[in-house]
Amino acid sequence: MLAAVLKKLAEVVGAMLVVSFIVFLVLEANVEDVAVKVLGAYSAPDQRAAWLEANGYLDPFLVRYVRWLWDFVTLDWGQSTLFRVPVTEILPQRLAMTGILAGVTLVVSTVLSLVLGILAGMNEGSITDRTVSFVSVLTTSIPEFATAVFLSAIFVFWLGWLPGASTMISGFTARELVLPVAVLTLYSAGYLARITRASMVEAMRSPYVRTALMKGASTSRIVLQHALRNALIAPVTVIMLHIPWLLSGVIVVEVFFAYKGFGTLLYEAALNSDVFLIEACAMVSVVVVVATQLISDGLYRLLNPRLRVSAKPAGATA
Amino acid sequence: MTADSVVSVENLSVRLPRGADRPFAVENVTLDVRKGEILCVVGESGSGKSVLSAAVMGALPRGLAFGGGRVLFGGQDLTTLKPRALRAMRGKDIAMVFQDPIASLNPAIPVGLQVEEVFQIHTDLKPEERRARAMALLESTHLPDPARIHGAYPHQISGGQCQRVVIAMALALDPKLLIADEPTTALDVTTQAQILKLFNELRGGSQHGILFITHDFGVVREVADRVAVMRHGQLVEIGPAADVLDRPTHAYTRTLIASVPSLNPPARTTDLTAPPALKADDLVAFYGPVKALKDVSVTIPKGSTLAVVGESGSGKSTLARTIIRLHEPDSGTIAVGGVDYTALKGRDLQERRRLIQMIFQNPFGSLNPRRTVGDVLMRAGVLGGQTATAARARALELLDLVRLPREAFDRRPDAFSGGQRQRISIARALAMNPEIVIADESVSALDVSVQAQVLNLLDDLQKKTGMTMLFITHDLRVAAQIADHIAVMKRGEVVEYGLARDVLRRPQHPYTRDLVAAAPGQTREEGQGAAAE
Repeated sequence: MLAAVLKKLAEVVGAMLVVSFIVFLVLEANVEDVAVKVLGAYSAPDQRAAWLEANGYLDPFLVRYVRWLWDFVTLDWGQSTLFRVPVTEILPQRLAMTGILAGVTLVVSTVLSLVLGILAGMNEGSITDRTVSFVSVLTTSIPEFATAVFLSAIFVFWLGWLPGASTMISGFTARELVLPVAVLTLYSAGYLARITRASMVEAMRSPYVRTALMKGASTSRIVLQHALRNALIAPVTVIMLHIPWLLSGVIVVEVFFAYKGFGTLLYEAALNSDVFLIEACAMVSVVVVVATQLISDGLYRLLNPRLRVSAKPAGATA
Repeated sequence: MTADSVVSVENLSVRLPRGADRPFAVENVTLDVRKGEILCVVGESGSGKSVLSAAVMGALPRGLAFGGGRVLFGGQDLTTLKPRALRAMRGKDIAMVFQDPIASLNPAIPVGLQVEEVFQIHTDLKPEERRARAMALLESTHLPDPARIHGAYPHQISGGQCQRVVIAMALALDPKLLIADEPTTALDVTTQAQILKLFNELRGGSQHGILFITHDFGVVREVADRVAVMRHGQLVEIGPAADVLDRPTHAYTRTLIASVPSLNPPARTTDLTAPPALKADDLVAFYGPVKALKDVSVTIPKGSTLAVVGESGSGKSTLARTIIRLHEPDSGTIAVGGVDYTALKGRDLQERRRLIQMIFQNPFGSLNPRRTVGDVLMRAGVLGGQTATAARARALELLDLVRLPREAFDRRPDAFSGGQRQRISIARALAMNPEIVIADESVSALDVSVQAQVLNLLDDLQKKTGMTMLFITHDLRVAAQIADHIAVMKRGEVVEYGLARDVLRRPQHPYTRDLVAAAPGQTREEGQGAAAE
């Protein structure tokens, strides 16, 4: 058991190291480039040389990488050239904003799609099933920017119920969160609902559900105690894959609604070649992806006893 | 309805959906199950026996509907009962045991709790009482260490143990009627023998009536008090076991019984002094950390058949896969017609691999549904080095050879039944003009009457083409019908190897003796042995 955990952790750390190396290679292999980006295009050559010298950029590449990595681990993430403040000051606050958006979306879309998927899958071929299947294909097929335009047209310009921008300038308001969440939910819930439906259908057709039926179990008992637990295995994986997607997938929505989150930050950093900010954003994304994977592995094991590493198998073959 | 009958089915019909090959899945069937007896319903696939069992449970599969008649149980007609009333009855008065025991149990719940659930649904017993009762039930089905089994998940115990758990669950509230739908089909033969023994125990003493659905006449002989034979949804014959099995009145029953392979090998005329077509020496193969083959050595003389017999996990399929090098051996040699097959690489291997062809178990999965039969056969011929015209002529010849009409050439596999598809698979294997044919459980998925035909066909083809055959099977009876030599495998080892006759009549190894003893259908079989010849 311990060996398995250690192995998993080694994998995770390995993956993070590989990505960090690639990030560093892409952004900082060419030191001249870094100097130009930090000091600006109109800086003088001797200025740049002095800066490179002062910041240790003349050391060998690998030495610089290790130093960079150490700085990163000790939360010394450098100065944002765009905002003129330390990266550690701006990033957490933006991440929190995206966290709110992603979190609310995740809850709404998970609840919605699980409920719809289960209702549809419980009764394969029913009207509910066909309606859910049709609507979920429809919403998943339309990209976020199209939905965003469409929903804005209705709720902002026509009905005038909701604000068109979610800048949250005068403090946090739930009203400004409605449209971004709606757009993200429409896009992601359809897919999850279909996965849930498919697993539910499979579970309802399984021999163990038939066994439960023949035991005299009621429909609610069959669905809740027998089918659901097994049917949730696939959706849980999808939900966990949603979290990293939300982190990056929100870029379009955040930019569209001018929401000051992680997505807009990454977008602005990239537009302005803000090297240290890009690096920090990339590394934060990696940590989020890896963390959700670990959580999803854990949940998976919890739901599926066959995957648990058991210390002592209970039965020998007869 | 006699006084002691538990359930009586009267003129029951079950309608199939429009567009099926016949209007009724079950047509006008009348029978009853009596207290303390086992009534076996026997039939081939599509005979309606499983639909009948579902109908008695009041749970017809989707798309099917009652088309008349009654199922009387305790004075009530189950075909018209409301779902709530049916539910109250299921698990309490009528219980069911299924074919695939591991899949029948919820993989995410410990098996003990699944037994307890029956009490939870139908009684107000306290948790401790439920646990005690479940434990007692597990013990009564002879499960070792009930406390440990109680907390185990289905994947942690064997198939036989799972079936005992399912039976314990079915017996929980002492139902009046127990329905068992092919309860031993998915089990190994020695496990099957134990479960059948358990069923025989259940009959004596208690007040259950047992409706036992099976396709296997061997199993019928072991357990049945009375036998009902079904075909195309109709009841062909019903009566006491001794009458139906030994003095069948209906021609169909006679054919079925005659098709059951017996353990008595027919006389064979194969020349066993021919040089070996295939010789494997000290093969060792691993599946991950598991040593699947432990120094296996076999020799097959040219033109003869070696049957490799073993239960699941014995390594018999690994042996087949290793011989055609779908699985690489870790050590040992394979010589095919004198050439060292283990040393071949790349193009040479592909070239030589054509000389060994394989026929698989599942005739539905092993043919590409998008291609016509002719296409499949010609392709194999062309790959074997023939021109398109020659391959076409050969394909037609092959259809004759496996006794399919020439019209089959332009049809797709889905137009054929399981037995016909297996003939197509055989023709495809032969299209490459192989020297050796490996048949991996090639008749296991077929009904007995079809099985007998395919076995005869293979035997015939061997006489005509002189091919050498490696026949992998779990069924000693099938091996008896086709083999010159038999190798018995257990846990990756060949524990007994010799002439078919010797292995079957004078088994040396205790495991072989167990296998021979466990083969169902021997109790009353004397004087019947030559039936399949």
